[in-house]
Amino acid sequence: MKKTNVLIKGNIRQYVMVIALAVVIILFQILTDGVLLKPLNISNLIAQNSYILILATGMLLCILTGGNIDLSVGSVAGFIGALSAIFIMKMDMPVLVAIILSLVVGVIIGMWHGFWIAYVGVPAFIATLAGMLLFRGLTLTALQGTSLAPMPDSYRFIASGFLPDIIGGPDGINVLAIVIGIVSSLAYVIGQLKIRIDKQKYNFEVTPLKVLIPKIIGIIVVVNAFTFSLASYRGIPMVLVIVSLLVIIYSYITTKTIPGRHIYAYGGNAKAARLSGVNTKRVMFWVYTNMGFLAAIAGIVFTGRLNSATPKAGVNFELDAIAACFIGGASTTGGVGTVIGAIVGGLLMGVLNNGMSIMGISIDWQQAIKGIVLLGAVAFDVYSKSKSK
Amino acid sequence: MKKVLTIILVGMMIMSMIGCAKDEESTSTTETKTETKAETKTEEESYVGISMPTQSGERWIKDGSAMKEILEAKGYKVDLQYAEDDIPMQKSQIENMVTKGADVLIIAAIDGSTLSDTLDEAAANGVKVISYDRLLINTDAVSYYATFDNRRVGQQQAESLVEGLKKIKGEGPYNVELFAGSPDDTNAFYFFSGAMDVLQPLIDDGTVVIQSGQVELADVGTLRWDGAVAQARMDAILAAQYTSGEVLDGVLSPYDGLSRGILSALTAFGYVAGDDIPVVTGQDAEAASIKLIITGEQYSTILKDTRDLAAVAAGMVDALLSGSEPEINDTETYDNNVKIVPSYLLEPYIVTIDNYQELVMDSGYLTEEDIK
Repeated sequence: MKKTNVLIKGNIRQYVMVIALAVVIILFQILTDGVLLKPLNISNLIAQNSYILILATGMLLCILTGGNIDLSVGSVAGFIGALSAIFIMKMDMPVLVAIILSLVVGVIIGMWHGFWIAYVGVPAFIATLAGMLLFRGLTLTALQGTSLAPMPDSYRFIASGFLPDIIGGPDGINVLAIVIGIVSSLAYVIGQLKIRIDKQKYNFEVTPLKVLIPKIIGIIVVVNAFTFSLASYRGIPMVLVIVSLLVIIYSYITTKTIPGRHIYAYGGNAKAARLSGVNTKRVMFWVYTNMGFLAAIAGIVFTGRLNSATPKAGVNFELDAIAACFIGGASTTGGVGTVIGAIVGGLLMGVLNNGMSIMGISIDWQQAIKGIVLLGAVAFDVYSKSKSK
Repeated sequence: MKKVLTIILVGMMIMSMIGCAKDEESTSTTETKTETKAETKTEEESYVGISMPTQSGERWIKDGSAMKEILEAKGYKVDLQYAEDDIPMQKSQIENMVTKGADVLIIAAIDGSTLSDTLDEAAANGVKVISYDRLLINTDAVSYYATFDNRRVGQQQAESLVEGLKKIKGEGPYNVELFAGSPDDTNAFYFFSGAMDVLQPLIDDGTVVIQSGQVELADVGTLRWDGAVAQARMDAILAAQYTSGEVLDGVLSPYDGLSRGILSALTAFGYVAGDDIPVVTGQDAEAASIKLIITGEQYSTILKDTRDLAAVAAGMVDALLSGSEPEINDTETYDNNVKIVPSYLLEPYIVTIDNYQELVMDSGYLTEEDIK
């Protein structure tokens, strides 16, 4: 029992925000008379937050390198959205070509920032502040103040499409969604067991079964309730596929690969990392290059969702993405934080926005409440961190 | 590496200082010009400052360039600046125009209440101020107000909504949801109260039903006229009110940018253009929305031919500088908390699929290239 207590204490940091998210969801589920978790609204929640979650994933890597942030992501997302619309509408390019080209431009923009930060030594805050102004300006120039709309259907599919039900089933139920739910639960169970067996092989301490089993059951229930709920609406949204893939890929990179661990090492202690042979400049360069790439994806998703490339697209996205990372437990000094944490943080803000909007709370109060919650969430996190030490 | 950078940076600083110094010189020369202008004032020397809120909406760009063109053709020097919806930026732009010796300012404010002391200062320097499209409040410095009849715009939006409902949705009662503009923009209030002039009696007698119950400006307002905000609110309302059999018939939207966000939410929810899509209104006849009107997604928009408004404002400037009285047609509606501002109100037009060709295309407001 004592062991379990120690375990819970040690992990509380990791779970505080998940618990907070659950509390907020339950609270709004009650306050909105059950609208929050209606299948349609779950779909909405995903669509409304997808681009922030994508940005938060990249932002987390920036923050990991030592509390550096990227202020340019909103402007870059807006610029890429505008560019893709221009490629398609003014230059008559096929949608796929336009998207690939836009992503390439995103990567180049990321390299531009990475170059100044890593190799010239301009502080990240300044370099990306410059980028924020530069690309907002270029967005305005590119669009000439007009909005380009409507986007072609194949483009909109990215942001507002659903995976077609290739299996087919009873009316109104998307079987594919249910199957995906079951398959991913199985994958999760196998993954967890494999980790456990591997750890036992090396005689590492493992999570006791009486903790592990309820955790696995809990996650399986949530995942399947979630996919079943989506199945009863229109299935799995495309953006969910994109966000999930990114989360899996980036979780893997940050926890399992050498470049990923280098980011943590650099953020934890830059000097020690450098002396241990980590090419810190290269780490910085690729982190920001990657941010450019993800900002481009976010820009395309947002443009597809709005069905219109507008000069103001992306304003303040960077702040939402940064808030998501910090709410999700990232450390302002770097080296601490997880991709999943950033996603949980983003969802917490998203549920708040959506819930208050459903309740019809006016914007002035929405902003005030969000401010308080942001402060409360991070303060609680800091407090529980100091307790667990 | 570092040394080279330092040298470059220092060099740039010195250059910029020289730049500033040069600016100061030119400012002081314009000031002397202003002083001597009293006696030898010719049109060539008069300097007009135009401050527009943002370059992110095509209408402001059109307004600005139309006024610039007219005034420059009349021989005035024109300084046209956009503030990108940044209030402090607009304030300092206007202060700089006054410093540079503007004789007349045409201002479309981001927030009409934020400029009062800047303008009082300008008036003390003898600068005349024309409030353009959005009323400047809490200041005595405003000479004239050139605008579209904004209450009328709101009424027309509601009228076209009701007309569309009758035409497309048959007999009432109709389920309608309301959207308004940014609560800090005085026009949002006029649009919304104009619309409610028409809708309130229908709500009272049950012809129009607001399922969400949100009817106050504070509840239906859309901060900064942001389409994404409207889209998220529409998503939320659809999820909350229209999933158990009710059908949404119409949406009052005060601006095309919001209408497009709302329509994205409606189509994502499953409404189909040309079939059961709700009647959605708009304003400004933006090219992107005219395309949606042609494809049957958006029902209507309001055309305010801003070239006419620009001509009116330019005419006011001309009259002020040549010492004659500008034409006005309203001396009682627009109270800015300090005085009733003499105004010239232009009539807006309702645009639907039936008349867009004539009103928007043939008049040259948009070109075929714009809506391609």
